[in-house]
Amino acid sequence: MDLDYTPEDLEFRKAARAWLAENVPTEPRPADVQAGAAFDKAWQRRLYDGGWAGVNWPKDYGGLGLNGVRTLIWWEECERARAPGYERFTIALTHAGPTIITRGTEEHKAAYLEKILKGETIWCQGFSEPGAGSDLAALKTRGEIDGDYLVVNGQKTWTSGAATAQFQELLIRTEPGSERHKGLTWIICDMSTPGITVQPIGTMMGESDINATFYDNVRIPLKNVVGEIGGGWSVAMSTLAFERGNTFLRDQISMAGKVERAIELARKTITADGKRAIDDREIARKLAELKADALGLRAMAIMNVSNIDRNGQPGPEGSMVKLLVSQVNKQLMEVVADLSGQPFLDYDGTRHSNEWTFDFMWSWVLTIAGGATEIQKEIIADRVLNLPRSR
Amino acid sequence: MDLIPSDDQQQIIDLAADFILKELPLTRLFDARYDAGKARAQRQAMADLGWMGIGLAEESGGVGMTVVEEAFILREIGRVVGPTAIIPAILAAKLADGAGLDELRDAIVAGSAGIALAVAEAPLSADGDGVSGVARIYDVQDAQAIVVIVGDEALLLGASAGDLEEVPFLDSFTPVARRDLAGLPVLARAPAAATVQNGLLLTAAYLAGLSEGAVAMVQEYAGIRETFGRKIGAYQAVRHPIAEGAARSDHAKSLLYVAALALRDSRDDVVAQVSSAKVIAHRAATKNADINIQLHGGIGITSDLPAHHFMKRALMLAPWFGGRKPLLDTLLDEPLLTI
Repeated sequence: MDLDYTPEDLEFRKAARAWLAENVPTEPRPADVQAGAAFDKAWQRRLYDGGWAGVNWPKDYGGLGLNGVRTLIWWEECERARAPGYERFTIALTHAGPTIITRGTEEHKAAYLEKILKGETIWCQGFSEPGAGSDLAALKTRGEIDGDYLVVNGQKTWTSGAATAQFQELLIRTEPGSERHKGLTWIICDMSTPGITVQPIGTMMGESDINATFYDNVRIPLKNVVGEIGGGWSVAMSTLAFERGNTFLRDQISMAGKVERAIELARKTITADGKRAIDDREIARKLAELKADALGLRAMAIMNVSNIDRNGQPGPEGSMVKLLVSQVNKQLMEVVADLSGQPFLDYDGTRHSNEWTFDFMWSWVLTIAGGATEIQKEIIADRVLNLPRSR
Repeated sequence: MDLIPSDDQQQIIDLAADFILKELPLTRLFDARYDAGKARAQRQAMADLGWMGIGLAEESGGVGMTVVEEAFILREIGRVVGPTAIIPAILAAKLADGAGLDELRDAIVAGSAGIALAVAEAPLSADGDGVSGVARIYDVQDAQAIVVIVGDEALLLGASAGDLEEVPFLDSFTPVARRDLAGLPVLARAPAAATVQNGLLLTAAYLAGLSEGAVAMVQEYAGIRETFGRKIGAYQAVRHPIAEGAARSDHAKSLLYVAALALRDSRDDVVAQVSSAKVIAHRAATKNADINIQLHGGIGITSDLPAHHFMKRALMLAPWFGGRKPLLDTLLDEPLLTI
């Protein structure tokens, strides 16, 4: 057991830090949906050109194939440099791409993977439906085989990035009368196919890029199926461990910096009674406790990457991370709202008008999206604790 | 960078877990009372395993390992609400060693001397003659010396049975006295930092163990107990708090490991790490002790069941080497990013 970096780790950190210092965009990510997507593509392209795209994708598929510790270092340096996150490339880099790597044909790999790394194609996820969110297996959007095509009809929702995505990882019911996890198919859907309608969904943040997606006789070539027809559930779940190990790593690492920025805010905020917010003991101690929480999250990240490097997969802490990260974040946002007073309410519907206020509202996205807190607890109860099943 | 115990370290953990299972099973607490003879035998058995000197150098009669292995042991002891006396004993052995009190050190390591811990109840002061001020003194059984922190000094005070009269105490498995420390001879004194940091780590380890032990207990019950025709673990009102408890334990354990390594390697952020480790482990132990009592239902508040001991022990350890508030006040100004 040790907390030391190898000389090669330190070299890697130095190289990452130097490159990020030169290349992180100085302008903020635009709030506009199209301009935001263009920003994300440009950043991904810059990562690719600099040799930093797909940090934890296997080398065989154009990634850097970094081990857990190096991945951690990369995210620490990104946080330090305040580099852009995955944003619209989240699905492509953390789910669709890894799924194609794990389950796709050579043709799929050749057609899609490099374009993701190069920042050319944004992907969105077509999993949730109005009647199938936490209970994903209740999905009803159907696909019927017609010659060399699957003809898709139905509706997906919460489709982040649908308006700017070229492709979608789409999970549909292809076996008539099938139920739950059976009879589903995972297919690559070109978003420019006729019959697809994208309708933006307004959110409490104002600025948003989530949508409802409607499918009216959308014809998708059968060659776009990844895995077997009817085997879609296992394809959708095949990268779960990959996701658990990596998706929240940056959030875990960034929590420490976020708490420090909140403490800075408290030092310079003068409250209605004329005192600095940090001089309020209740606020100061809450912030200090969140600092301890953030150190704990970082420790869990180190435990997580240690497990990945030792055993090839995350340990049980992987399933607990999302629960804790999103809860700590929410508590931090509550303190920030408390210490900021009325100026916290200055907000024009875009994150740039008040980052903290945007983050406050975004805290519910973190506790709901990608498996709500209640679902995370079910997963821990089932898979880590082996408690009697509730369903 | 690796937070997984090595094979050798895992062996220490497994041995400790085996010992605990045999010598200190939770069932020993079922409707039981403190028994001085048993407590003495437990101390002897732990000393025989080398636990009082596990982090002490071999040339000083210790096992020659580090605070990391100490933390492993304390976590296992905490799981079963085991004796806390080992915490002041480990610290006192090091203080005695540093002061050249070889006889006392060897007696502690051998398990023949008990060591107590004094925690201030009112401001303490120290001068050339000794310490004055009222303190609560924990684990007084067979105590030949008392560890106490006064300002920036750690002191070892001499004591004998007549000096330490037991008082009734909430945690009935810990013999406790309360007195003014004036008049007790100073055996050794050293800068406080090393003892405080070590003490915070050991206490955090014990508390991390408590939080895991409480979850394990209620997890087991949730798989057996039936209401309304189903195992209670199937109800989300029951399984979700247990899942949260498991996450809290994992959070506390991971931080404990990082803090242990930070202390072992004298890293720059050691104060932030050990302070955080205690704050988080204490919170986890308290909350998990709560769900353990609550989710057991009526049986949870009876003396038949040891659930209450987890809560009482967490309460007792709250002020050891710094309570939540002073630790948080320190932590606020400690730099976080040590990249």
